[in-house]
Amino acid sequence: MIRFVAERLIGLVLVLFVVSAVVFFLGTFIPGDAATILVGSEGATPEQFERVREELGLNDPLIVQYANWMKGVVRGDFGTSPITGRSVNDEIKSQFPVSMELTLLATILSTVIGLPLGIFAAIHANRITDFIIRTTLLVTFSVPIFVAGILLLLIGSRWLGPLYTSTYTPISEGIGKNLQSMILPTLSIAIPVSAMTMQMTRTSMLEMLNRPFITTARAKGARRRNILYIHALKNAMSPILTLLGFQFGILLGGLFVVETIFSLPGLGRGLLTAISQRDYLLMMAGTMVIAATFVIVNVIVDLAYPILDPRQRDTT
Amino acid sequence: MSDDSERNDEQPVLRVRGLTTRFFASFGIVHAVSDVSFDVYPGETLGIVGESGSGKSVTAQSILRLVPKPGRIVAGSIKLDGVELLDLEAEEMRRIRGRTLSMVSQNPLTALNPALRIGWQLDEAHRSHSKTGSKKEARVRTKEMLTAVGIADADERANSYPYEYSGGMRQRIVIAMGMMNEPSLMIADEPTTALDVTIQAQVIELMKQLIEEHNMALVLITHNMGVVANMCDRVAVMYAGEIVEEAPIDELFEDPKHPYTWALLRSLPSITEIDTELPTISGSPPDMTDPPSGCRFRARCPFAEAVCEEHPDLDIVGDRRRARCWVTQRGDSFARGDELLIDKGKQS
Repeated sequence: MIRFVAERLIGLVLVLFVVSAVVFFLGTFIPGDAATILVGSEGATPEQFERVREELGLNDPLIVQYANWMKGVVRGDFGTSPITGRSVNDEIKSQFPVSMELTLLATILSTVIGLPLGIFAAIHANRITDFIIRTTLLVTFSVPIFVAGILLLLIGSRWLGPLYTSTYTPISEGIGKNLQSMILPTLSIAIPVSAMTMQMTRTSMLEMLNRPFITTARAKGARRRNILYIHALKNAMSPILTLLGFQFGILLGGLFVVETIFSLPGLGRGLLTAISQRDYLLMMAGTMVIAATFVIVNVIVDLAYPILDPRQRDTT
Repeated sequence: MSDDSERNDEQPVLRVRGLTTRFFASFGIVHAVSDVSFDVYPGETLGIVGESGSGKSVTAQSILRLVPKPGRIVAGSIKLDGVELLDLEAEEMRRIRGRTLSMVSQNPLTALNPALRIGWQLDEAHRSHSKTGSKKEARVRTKEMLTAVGIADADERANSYPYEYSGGMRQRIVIAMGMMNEPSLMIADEPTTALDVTIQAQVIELMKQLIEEHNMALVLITHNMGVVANMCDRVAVMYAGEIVEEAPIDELFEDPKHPYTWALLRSLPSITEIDTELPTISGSPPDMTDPPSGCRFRARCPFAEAVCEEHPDLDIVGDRRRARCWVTQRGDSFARGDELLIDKGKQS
């Protein structure tokens, strides 16, 4: 167990190293740099460009730039953005909680919708209720998030009145106000994601309900709710949990659409701005935080498997 | 066994009449079990034998009303201690399963839930039927049963998971589970097929001992004639979804009254004739989506006659014996069987 966690932490460091290198070197392929943004493309002399580049260290060989950046990161300092003049650490600290909250809320809500519906659909497999659940969720899944988001935004600002505010309020300033600004963005992500959770739950439950141990349980007169919620569900949870872990990572990295539509100051929107402004420091910090969260969430998922499946206990 | 049986002074535990179970599959209707009738008396072991696909497992599933989809019991009556099971509500049926009627299934490796502790799974068999649902009471019984089926350190072993046990041990646990509430009838579907021969013998001994101690009736479903000879009082032979013969065990082996049984017994290896090639039953079982109209064994039967194009009933052919064959019903035997086979060979 301790060894497993240690191994995964080493893995995390490796992942972060690779991610940072890839993002750094790919970033240099984007035409233009911070100097272009700072000095402006019109009316500046080549000398001015040169001076700014020299100050930012952009004239150093790439490997030297990367090493300098790495020195800071190892000490937990992502540097100061040349564009905004603010500390990158501060930017991330303000953006991360927004995205994390949105992802958590969306994961919870989509599970709360998808899991029971999936179980219900599996129990009523190939009957009319199963058909209705699956088609409805398939339709919501087919609507792109930006369409659903814009629709919800319109509905929210037109009809929901006090239930929705378009200005983001941090949790620290009151959970009620915070939820007012979070509820619609959460919904617009959670609805399509719940379709995925429902489908996986249905498939996994159906497979388990056809296993011989279910017949054994029925033959001993076990109650229906035990058969469904203990015998079948406990075995069906492993693949569902894997999906949830992946969903979490994909959501966190794909929030920019929703954050942009609903004007939420999160990591996704921050990254988008950073890329358009060639703010490499902010871009790399954002990417690394997302990658680290993804890996950590999946380590937690891996740690949960042995609780569900005792056969995995010896190997971890 | 017919209604005017000489044992009608004693009430059967299980009385099955005209049981017909079909599978409504996409490729056609499979006539898995057709008009099956038999009785099981208290403390008796009835063997149901037949090849794969003969309908013996579906018969077992039908009795517990656990026929998998798209199968359905379409006709018949199943009475357990006089109660018609086919009329019961789902909840009433649940209360019977595992309490007065239990099942030991085929493959011990897949029969137990891999994610739950053995003790919990055994407890559940008790708690599903106790008024209080008490965990403590259940655990006391669980330990008793684990000890009864020969598992030492019941305390500790109850906390193990199925994967921590061998196949033979798991089958003992499945048997313990079936015995939890001392049922009056247990149905064992190929309980030893998935086990090694030495383990098979142990499990058979264990079952015999438990049956004797608790005066429990057993329906033993198997294709293993050795197991039948070792355990059963009476045997019903199934072919193509029908019972073709029913007889006390000794008489079946001595004097089979249906050509399928006759051929089945001839194809068993014998210790005294090591070098002889084993006769096999020529042909293959009929397509059960469209069973033949006459005698279902006709196409493979060395004794087939014109009359066999009519479907024979399962009729009395002797004391406590029934067979579904025109030849034995009129009093002829298969004593000349081997000669007949040779004659047929010459003709064709």
